[in-house]
Amino acid sequence: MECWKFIECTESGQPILRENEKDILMDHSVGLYHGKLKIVNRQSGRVFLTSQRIIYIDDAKPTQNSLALELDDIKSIDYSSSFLKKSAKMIVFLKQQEQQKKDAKKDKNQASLTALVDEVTTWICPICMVTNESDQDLSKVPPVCINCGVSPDFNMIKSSLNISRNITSTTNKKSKDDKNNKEKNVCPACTFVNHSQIRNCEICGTRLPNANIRHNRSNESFKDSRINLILEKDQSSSSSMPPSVEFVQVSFRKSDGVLFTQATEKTLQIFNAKNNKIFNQNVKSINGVDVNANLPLLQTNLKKIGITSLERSRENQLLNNDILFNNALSDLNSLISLANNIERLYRSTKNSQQQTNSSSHRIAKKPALIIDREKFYNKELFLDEIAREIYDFAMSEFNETTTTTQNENIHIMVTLVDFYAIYNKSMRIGTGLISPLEMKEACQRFEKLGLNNLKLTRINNRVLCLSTKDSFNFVKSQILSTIDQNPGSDLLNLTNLINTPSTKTANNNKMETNNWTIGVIMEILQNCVDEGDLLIDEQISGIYYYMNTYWKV
Amino acid sequence: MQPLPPIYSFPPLYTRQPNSIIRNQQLNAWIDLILQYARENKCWTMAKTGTSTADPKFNIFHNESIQRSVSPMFIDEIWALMIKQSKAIVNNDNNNNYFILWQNIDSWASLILQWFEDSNKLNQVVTIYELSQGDETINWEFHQMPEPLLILALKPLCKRNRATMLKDEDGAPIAIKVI
Repeated sequence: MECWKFIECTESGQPILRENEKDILMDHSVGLYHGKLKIVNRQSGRVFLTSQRIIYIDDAKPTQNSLALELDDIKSIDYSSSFLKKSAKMIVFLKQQEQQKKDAKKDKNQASLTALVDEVTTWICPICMVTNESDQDLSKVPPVCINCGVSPDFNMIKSSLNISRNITSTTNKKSKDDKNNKEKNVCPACTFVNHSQIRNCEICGTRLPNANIRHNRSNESFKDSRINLILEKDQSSSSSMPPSVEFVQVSFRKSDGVLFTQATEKTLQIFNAKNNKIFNQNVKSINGVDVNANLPLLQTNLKKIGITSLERSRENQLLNNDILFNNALSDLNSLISLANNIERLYRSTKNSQQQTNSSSHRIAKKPALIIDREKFYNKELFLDEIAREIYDFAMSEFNETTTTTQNENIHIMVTLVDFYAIYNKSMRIGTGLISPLEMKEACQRFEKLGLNNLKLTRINNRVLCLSTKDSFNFVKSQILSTIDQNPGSDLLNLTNLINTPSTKTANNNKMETNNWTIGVIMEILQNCVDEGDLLIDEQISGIYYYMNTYWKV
Repeated sequence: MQPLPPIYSFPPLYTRQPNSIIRNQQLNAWIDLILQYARENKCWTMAKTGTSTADPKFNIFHNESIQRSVSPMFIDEIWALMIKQSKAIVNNDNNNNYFILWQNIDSWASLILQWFEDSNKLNQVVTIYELSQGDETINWEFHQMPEPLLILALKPLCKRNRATMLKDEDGAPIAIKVI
């Protein structure tokens, strides 16, 4: 059961991907099997294929019942087509389970060698000089180099052996081991010290070294309480973890799943290939400068005699200087451009920090899920996914601006036209803009998808707005009270008044700034006038609004 | 001049309100204002533009103090409603003028009848001029009522056969005898 990981997902049912993780394909109406048994409560959902995982998002309870499979854990996949009532399935054979079995066997065989389990041995391949890692007793099991695939003789690597105690030392609390950086699970790319059980760096998403070994070691003790799997026809029927199996299955209820299987296979290939790749392996030049280039050697031997030789040496010297200067200049250029980059980066982060001054922790989550039309089998699915994204985007975007403390008091109201522009500008560039009609259709799907906080409303029978349930009345009452205090305000004045922090909230040490757009306020004013709550005073300079104190409706 | 009620300084009063229910009340507010002004200032006629014939400097549709005035279209609407409610009558001599009736014609008729009874003028011929300008009516509300309006107010008495109109050679009434 260890293969299943809990995955966080947004309220609207979109998985939160890691950095560097890209989604590739999705399918809908799938169910999960563990071994041959169905997993209860995981029988209707969407499945995403990403560059790192296979993610299952439950339709009913996306935030609780969603699961993920690491591509890392997958040995191979197989496909079984639908037959009569049996739906098409993608069978995923797991790597890890197998290894564990081996481990278990070994543990039985070599009970005395338990001490070794705590250690990771590194050895250097005598052929390609790659540092390998192994958790096995090298003297008995001849290791295979991960780079060149050659199994060297033990004697040859004896000198390079380096045994480090590094996994369970956190529980052992051996203080001397703290010096060892490896045990702290330091990310090789960004040097962030991760928790020892984490496989991908929390900061940059880089795959951490020793991950598999370390994980195998520790996962027995580590159990994610958020995963709560119950199998159908569970013989034991106890709450204990279901037995480990060699494969899990993804069952496609509606589609045939061929495309998804093929895509997974391909991704798996690419994934495995990438894992073995060494960064900058065959690099020839960086920024146009040859890596291995030597400075052109000049002939400096002065074999010739006389004036010719003096002339020659002079020329050589000049040439040498030239080359030196050129190199220095190009180095300087690259240095300056680097400095500029850093400066720009610094400035941009500074700006963004200023913008989100106090609420820096509220930086909008940027869902890395790329919703591409081509990933979807039909338009319905695409719109469903767009709807989820729009919902998430709206919630995160406007939560930030209206810093209301309680969640249920968030009032969002934005005209669909404005929101269409915001959404397309910030989310859809590069992935294909959506049309206004698609936007509208997607917004109409909110209710169907169980996203109840936002809905599409029509103000004054003409303007479509995306709003939370009672935000219209909320804004209306705000406008009315503002006009009551400031009779004769025009639209602009009113917008300023409403959007400046009120004194009441300033006392609470909380600056409450609103961001009601002028369009929304205009529509609500219109509504107030139509309903007789407000009176207008129309002059050449504009329309001024007054409370209706004289004439009752 | 008596000050007008505070609603007269309420800026939205000068703009035609889009909500029809509100607008009806707004129109009635205007009519009340005009009638109140006319009663208090004895303004029998008013020009279409709102200037009072009694005080040409005053225009009811233009409020100098808050810099607001009613648009001509809306003024027409107010007059139309006033005529419909018989609170104003078009002056046949001058089409740009309206007679303002802060009391309706029948009330004026009975008031005049009461004068005839109180001052023992029954069965006597009284000229229209006497009625409107004479010293004997000076304490009565219809004093200085314009003659065309007075004739209109006397008509109900004739209809009830309480009075006979005496006319000159052109057929224009000049005097009345109340029985």
